[in-house]
Amino acid sequence: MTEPAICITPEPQVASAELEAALLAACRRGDAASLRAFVVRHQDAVFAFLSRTLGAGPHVEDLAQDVFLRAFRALPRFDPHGPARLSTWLLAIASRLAVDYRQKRRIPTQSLDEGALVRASATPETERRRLEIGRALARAAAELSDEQRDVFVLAEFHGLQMQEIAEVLSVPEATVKTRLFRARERLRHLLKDVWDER
Amino acid sequence: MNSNRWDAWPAQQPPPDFAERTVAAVLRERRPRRVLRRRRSAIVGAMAAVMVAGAAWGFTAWSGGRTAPARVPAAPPEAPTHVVSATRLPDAPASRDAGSEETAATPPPARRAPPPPPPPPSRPHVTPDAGRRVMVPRCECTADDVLCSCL
Repeated sequence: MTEPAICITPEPQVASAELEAALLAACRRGDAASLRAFVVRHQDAVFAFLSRTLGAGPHVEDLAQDVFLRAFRALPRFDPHGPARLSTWLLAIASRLAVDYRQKRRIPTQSLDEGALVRASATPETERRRLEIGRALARAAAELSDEQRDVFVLAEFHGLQMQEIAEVLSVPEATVKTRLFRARERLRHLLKDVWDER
Repeated sequence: MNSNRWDAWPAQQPPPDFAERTVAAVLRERRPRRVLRRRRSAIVGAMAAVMVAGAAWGFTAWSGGRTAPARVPAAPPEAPTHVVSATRLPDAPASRDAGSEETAATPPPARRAPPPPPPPPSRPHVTPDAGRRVMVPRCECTADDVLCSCL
């Protein structure tokens, strides 16, 4: 069986510090083009995090917009030379919003538009298999606790280190390690059949 | 466990116009804030000006009442000076002539002398009789006396 095509969530490209600082300064001034560039640069990561931790649906778009609104409000206080990266800072805002949203209501999730996920270069068989795996992953992730899923998504999909995850979620690093270990173990168990099939 | 395995988990993609709508929302949010800030600063400025003016007025009134000398009763309006012409008009009535003469006879009011400067407050007022016992003569008058020199 061929290796299924991988849908890699595009991470924001690492820009030079000067470029990032200049973009931030322009955003603080309220320059529309810079604000748009900022959103375009980070929107995929924010959408990926929210949709994977909360489930896909229209609420993701609302929350993502809220993330950017809050980020622009708090932008004057963000120190580009500080310890937190801009993407990590945005994910921290997103995770707090996700926690609030979970507490407020049960989220009506919907399956993703599968047509939108089909890659032009993939064969129909490959795509079918990829979608199956994706659905199995989503189901397995839904079995995790919210805390475990947050840690897992941040570690596996956004490439954050333990310390960064601890900062984003405002929990001790040891807690992050424990949650990540348990999440991986549980997913390994739940997806055993899927991996064996591959 | 390879990270690529997890990447099959699909993520929701942002709609194409998400950035435009978000930027529009940001700019919409910023505009009323700026207007509100301007309005608030105008109100605060007006209030500060009123307070400063009130404080200045109050200080002036308070310090004026304390430092100003005791108010001298207003001098009566000076009698109007009538200028009597040396040449009398032939057809002037007699009564008017009399009044004019009377007015002319009255001496002009003496000019009020400027008040003497107040004594320096540090110096005590010493009189020549200070400390002496005052002896009051006993009155010998009786009730029947018609004329009493003691009173």
